[in-house]
Amino acid sequence: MVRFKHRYLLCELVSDDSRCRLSLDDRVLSSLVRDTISRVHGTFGAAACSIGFAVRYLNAYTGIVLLRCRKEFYQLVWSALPFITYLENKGHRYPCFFNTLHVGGTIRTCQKFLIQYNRRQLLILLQNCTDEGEREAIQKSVTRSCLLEEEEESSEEAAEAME
Amino acid sequence: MSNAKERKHAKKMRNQPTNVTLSSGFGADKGVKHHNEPHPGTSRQWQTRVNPHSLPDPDVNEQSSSKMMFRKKGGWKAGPEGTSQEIPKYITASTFAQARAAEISAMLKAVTQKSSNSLVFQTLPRHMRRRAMSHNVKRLPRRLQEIAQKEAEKTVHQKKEHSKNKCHKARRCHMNRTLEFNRRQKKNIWLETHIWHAKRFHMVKKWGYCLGERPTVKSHRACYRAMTNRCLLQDLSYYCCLELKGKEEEILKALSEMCSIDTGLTFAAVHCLSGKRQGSLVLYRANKYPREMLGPVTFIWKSQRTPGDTSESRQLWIWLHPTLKQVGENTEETPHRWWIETCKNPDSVSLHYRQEAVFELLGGITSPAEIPAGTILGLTVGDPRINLPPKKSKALPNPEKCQDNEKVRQLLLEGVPVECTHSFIWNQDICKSVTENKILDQDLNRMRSELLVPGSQLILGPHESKIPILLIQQPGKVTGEDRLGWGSGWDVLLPKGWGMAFWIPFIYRGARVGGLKESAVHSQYKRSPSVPGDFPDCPAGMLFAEEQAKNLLEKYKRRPPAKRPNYVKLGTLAPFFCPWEQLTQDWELRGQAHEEPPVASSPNGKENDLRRSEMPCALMPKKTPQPSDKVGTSIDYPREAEEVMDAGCQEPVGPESITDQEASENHVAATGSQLCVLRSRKLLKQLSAWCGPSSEDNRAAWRAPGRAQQGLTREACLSILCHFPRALVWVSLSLLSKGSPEPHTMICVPTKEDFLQLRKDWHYCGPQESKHSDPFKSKILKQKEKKKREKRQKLGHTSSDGLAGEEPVAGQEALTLGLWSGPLPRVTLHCSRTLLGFVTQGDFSMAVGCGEALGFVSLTGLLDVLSSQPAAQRGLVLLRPPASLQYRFARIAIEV
Repeated sequence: MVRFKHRYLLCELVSDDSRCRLSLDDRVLSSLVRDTISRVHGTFGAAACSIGFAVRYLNAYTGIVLLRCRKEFYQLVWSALPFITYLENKGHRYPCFFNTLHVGGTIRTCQKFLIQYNRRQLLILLQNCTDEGEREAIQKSVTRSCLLEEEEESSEEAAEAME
Repeated sequence: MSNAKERKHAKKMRNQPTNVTLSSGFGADKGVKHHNEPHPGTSRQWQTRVNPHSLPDPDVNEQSSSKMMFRKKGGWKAGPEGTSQEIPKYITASTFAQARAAEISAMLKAVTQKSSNSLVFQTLPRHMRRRAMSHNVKRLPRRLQEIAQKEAEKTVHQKKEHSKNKCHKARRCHMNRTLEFNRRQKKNIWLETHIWHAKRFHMVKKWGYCLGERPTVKSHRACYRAMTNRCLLQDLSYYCCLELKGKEEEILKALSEMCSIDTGLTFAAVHCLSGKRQGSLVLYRANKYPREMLGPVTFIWKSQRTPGDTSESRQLWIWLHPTLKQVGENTEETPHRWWIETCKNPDSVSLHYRQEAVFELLGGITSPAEIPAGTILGLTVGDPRINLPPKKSKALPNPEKCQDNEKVRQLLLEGVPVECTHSFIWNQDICKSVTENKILDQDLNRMRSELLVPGSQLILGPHESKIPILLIQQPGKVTGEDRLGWGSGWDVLLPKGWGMAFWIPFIYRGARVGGLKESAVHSQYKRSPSVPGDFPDCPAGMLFAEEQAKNLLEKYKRRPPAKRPNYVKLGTLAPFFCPWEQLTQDWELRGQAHEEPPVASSPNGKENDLRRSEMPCALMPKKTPQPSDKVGTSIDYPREAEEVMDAGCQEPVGPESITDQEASENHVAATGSQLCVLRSRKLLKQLSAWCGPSSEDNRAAWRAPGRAQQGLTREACLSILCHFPRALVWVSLSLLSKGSPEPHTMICVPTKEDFLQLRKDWHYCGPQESKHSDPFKSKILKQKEKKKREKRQKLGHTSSDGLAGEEPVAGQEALTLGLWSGPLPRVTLHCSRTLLGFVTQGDFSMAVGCGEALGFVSLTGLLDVLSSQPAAQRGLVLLRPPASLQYRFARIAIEV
């Protein structure tokens, strides 16, 4: 089938200021990226990237952001991301920066990558953790995330049995 | 986005994670709430599972750990006290980990669960798909089998309950099939040849029958060739037959009220009464001529055994179109639905031989048009299925075979002798027995297969059925001057049940079968009115017009406004129907306004004046002028009304004309505003003579030698108009150069400038109508805006919309972009050329080689135009199709 091909940029917003995360919003984010592109690549770049540009997923707790753009111009967006140094919202400026984790052709591949990435992060956190209580909590969440698949299946089966 | 689309989208996004922002779910519990969980239940579950673990942890411990985190991350400062409630004070490793874990679970759900709208089978890559997977779940990969099973169960429920209570073989069994067929033709009766037609034709349900409309193969030209040179076959058994039995005088007396000698021969015509010929006439409601027409019919009398014996009871068959049936049955005294029936054993052998001889002679005639119109010939024939040719072939006339020129000439001169018109088809008992004793196709085929020499002729001897049939000659084109006898042919009347037995042999002999469309083309080329579309004054015709208008409007509305003609801009008031009533009314008013003042030189009678003036006054309220966009017409109105009033005070010259007028007044008063179609042959002949240009006058005079040729004078016109104030005339139009008219084309009056142009240049195409403005467009736009605004308001506050919501909906129904809404303004004066009439059938005629049209014009208008045009160019009019601005010249002709 004929379709518009896209590129999905999976990024991580890193900020020390927690108020930055508070004000994180897809509208704020998209305007931020757009402004940066027009600043870096000019009017042409802004116009080229504005078609099909969207924020597909955003998680304020983890700072994960999924951006979509057309395949032809994804490099313009990609190259503009490092120039974002602060997030501006309601007159406040919060310093932050973007980490591009993955560039994928579909949302699905990005999601798959994100799962792997988060698991890795949790393991690293577990290894570095020194506190006992923390360690326990982290271990819990790690096992939960790993077992989740099976759990869901079992719950589904239960639901089917109910039917 | 429409509702269904939204639902589809929601279904697709069901498993996808949604955005998680702090502001949305903050304060419920610190950062633990997860919006990406599709089922709130599970998230709550999960929280409860988490909480017991966090509860035993001492608060101090947590705080200390959080402090540690600050240090680790470095430099996080708590905000002012106000904001500290809104944002998390500190980040712990556990919350961080929990957020990650929640995200992982959401993503896992999104990745693993199928959320697209496709079936399982469609999610498989193409190279892995197999055909058997569609019905056998086990052919699918094992991971998909479960989902596929669920899907299959779902579709079983959704599928409509199949009527497969019987297997295919049982359904094909003859008994069950006939049962099923009988069930299916309960509403619309099938003809005997229905199944044959249904395989080859586009079928329509019309008039209570299932009829073939047009062949599925491309055959317009082939059918035309069959009409002219060969044979076009049609199943007309949907025509209704009424049988009248009784004394000849009584029947004639009853029927004489329903027809008028003005329109031509009646039931009592000598040739028809003897049973020699078929007659055709137009029926009217009893004693209502020339108004309240019922419809055209054809009839045949059963020939008398002993001529001169008037006491003998006679049989009369009247053939009606099914649309006229209802009306017909109400008025006839002894209606007998007649079904074609059968007979056996011809007794008078000599008569049979004579009939056979006549039939042999017919082979020597090149065209059926040569013998007298409506000739009837009765025959008794053998089973046509037995001597079926082995291969489909064309039957060609063989003039050499018939050397007997003398006899042929006699036949042509005198027609078929009266004795030969006798047929046993008139006898019901015989017909019934023939139908019952018909050999089944199955048995015939079995006997054929048992023949010693395969493929040889089957000889049944005395067992072969003898079928009485009746041949009736159809005269074809009888009116006009060119192509006389075109499209002539034979009607074959068969006993019931023998339709298919004769149908197939006809086709094997090279006849081409046509449908309703072909019959319309045939009647158009013959320039004869088709039933029931071309009888606007009979109820069936009005019904037909209404239905046609409805269908055309529906079709028009299906197109987007930009892709359909804007009839308002084109100046077409009624593109889908012909407003005959209004046309004739307009012309009547115009006629009174224009013609009477000059005659008003001698004011004699005064007592009639009042009565005369009453009539237009009574008519005026119906014609209340609509506020039209043209200033000119709106000014016209009051002045004309005054003129009418003035005209009412005048009186034409001469005592006869006074009586004429009185009679006509009574007529008009009695029938009100009903329109009628002029069918009096005398008047039509007169008109047709006037229509032609002056050079043809001699010939026209020659054609009507008995009467003194009247000139086209005002007195003559007036005397006609007195009798028929609101009459239509059937005219045929042929275009001078380019253009092919279509139904509902407007017939207009050319101006003097048009004639000047035409005289200068004979290839002059014709004038153009200037574009009209569309006063409705702004209204529609306004309405749309209003609707939009209201919708927005509705969205704002859903209630408090009672009356305001209903009002625009009611207005919306009336307005369609591109169509004139509301009552029509004066139809005659709407365009730059005055409207005279409308075309009902029109197309490029392959018989003549130019565009031809048939239609009706207003009698008043026609006389007005003819008297005002110069003699050399008399009878020229302009045609303009509804979707075009171009006028084309055409010559008008009235064929009698």
